[in-house]
Amino acid sequence: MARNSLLEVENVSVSFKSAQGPIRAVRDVSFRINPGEIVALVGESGSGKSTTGLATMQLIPSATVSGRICLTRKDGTKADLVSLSESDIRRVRGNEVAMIFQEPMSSLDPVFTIGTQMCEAARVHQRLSYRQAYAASIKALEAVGMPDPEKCMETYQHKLSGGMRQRVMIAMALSSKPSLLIADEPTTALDVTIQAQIVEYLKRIQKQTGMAILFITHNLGLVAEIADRAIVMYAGEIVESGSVSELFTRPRMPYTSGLLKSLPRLGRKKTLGTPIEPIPGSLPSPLALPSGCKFHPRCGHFVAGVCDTAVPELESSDQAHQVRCARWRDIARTAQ
Amino acid sequence: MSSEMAPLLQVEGLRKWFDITRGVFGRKVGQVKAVDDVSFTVRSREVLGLAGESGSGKTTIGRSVLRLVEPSAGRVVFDGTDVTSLNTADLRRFRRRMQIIFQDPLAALNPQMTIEEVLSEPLIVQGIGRSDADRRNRAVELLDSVSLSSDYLKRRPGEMSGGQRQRIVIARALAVNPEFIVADEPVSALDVSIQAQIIALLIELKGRLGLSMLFISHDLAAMEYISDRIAVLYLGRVMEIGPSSEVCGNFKHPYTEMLISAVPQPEPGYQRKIFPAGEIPSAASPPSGCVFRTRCSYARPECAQIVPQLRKVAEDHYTACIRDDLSLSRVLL
Repeated sequence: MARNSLLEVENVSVSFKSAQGPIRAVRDVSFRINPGEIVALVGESGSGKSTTGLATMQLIPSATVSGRICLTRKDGTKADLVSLSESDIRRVRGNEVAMIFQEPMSSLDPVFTIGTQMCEAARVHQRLSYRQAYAASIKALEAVGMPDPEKCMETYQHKLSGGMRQRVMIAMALSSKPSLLIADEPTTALDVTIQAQIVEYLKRIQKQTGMAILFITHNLGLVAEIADRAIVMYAGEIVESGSVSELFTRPRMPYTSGLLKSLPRLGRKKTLGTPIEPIPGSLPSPLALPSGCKFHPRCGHFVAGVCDTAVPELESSDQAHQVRCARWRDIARTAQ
Repeated sequence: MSSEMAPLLQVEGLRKWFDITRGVFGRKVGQVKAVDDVSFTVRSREVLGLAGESGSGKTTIGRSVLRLVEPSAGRVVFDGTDVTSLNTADLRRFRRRMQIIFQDPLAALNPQMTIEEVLSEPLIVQGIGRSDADRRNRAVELLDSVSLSSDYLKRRPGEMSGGQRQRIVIARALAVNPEFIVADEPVSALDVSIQAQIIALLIELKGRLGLSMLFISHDLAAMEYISDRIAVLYLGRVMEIGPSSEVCGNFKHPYTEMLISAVPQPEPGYQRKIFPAGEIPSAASPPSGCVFRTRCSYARPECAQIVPQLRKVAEDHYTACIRDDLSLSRVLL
């Protein structure tokens, strides 16, 4: 493990209690994020991608989190977020690691103006005076492309469009200059044109500040656009990870290649001439996970006795490319 | 698709203006022009895609065609009959030929009903099938057509996955053997690996049953796959309409260019050449002239004066832009 990584997630599992028994929503997840890196966490519903993001910030009080989440703090010391006390973790949240969510409407308070909320955050986290906080908020809103920051400060969230609300959330999240931003599906509720704007601003701000981003999404197009590296999750486990160019050109796990083949691509209907190839079946229920490889009931490369017996290890197929598939060597050989 | 085929559905000058009211007496203070003077046709066995951002009026058009919302003005002619002038009883009879698939399958299904009841209800309403046994056979047939086994008859929506529920919603729409289906964002609420299944299913059903469809979506990539033609909407108006490969690959309207360039491409290293500017204005106070001019990088002073009409740029391909001197960027690879 590299010495300079910003966040090291090691063997993290998250489980919830339910009437039908414990739900192990995330199992044995390990990854790291280097300073200034944009890492995408990709998956469908139930993959555990959002749970992983929330668990990193210790934001799921009802869950049991095990493992180690080691953050290198701004002062150079390391802290394990799992074992940190509530008052210590509050100092990490916002200051060192900030988070933005899918639905900015529910993240903003309807009875206070945007300005009040932004200034409050700046005063709590950075101990600024009201005047300093106001000036900082205006600057933060300008940085995310808010057309009229002064007017925005006076309005309430319901007067803003979804895209404008998300800009406010990003401005607030970035006001205390976190070293890591966790963005949980930040553009999913927005139109494609607004999504493109938000992604562009995130990329621009990332370049200026050098912060790292953990970008949680189900959209493979966005992954290619924003991330350096991607981690693919399925049914609570990491099934593949690697650089974005590796994953998109040489996917090793049948789930990843299946996702890529099932994606309609604009302007390619004519040139490719091939119809999209859907992955058969449906996502497993967290209460009734398949034995062995969690993807085997939907996999075209399934071999009885191999795929349904033991859970395959996440192994390196290449430098910085990991795959969890018992048959990836055979599959790669036949594909050549 | 050749243009000689008689249109199955003809929409002419469709308008839907919602009143904005204020105070206890509902004083009218303005109007939202959700759909403003929209005309198009859907030919027999053809899929027309309606694309646009939220607020473009695409859903309102879909519902107006079925008269699930009453149009303020305009005509909807289905196979020679003016749907807008039908009375309630005739409309109900007509609905046998036109059905709808909704975006959120969980909201579209009654959680208390078994799948057998869900699929039998339209048959009972339309007086199809003489007995419960008849209807059950039809329900099994319908399940089979959406690739679900007859085991599902006794299940309830809550026991199924999102993709399975959407298959049930599609089966229910097919129950009365319609010729025409409005599919309103049928895959938007589904997971990526399930979306492709439903798109493939709709393409298969279209071919096998000879369906015509209005496919409403904000996902242009999925739309290009399923549609024969695409109409691009903005603030309640048609900006461009034409064969899907032309609209997606050889577009003639600046708004189409903006919309297509915004779609994230699953190609590492892909660089966007055009950045979408601004946001869709309120339909309560749309810009004068061309409604898109406030976000358009090619706008000229004349654009504020003239409401551009659709003009022909190629066979079957029309654009509502007064600038005929533009060479729009080929944004795609």
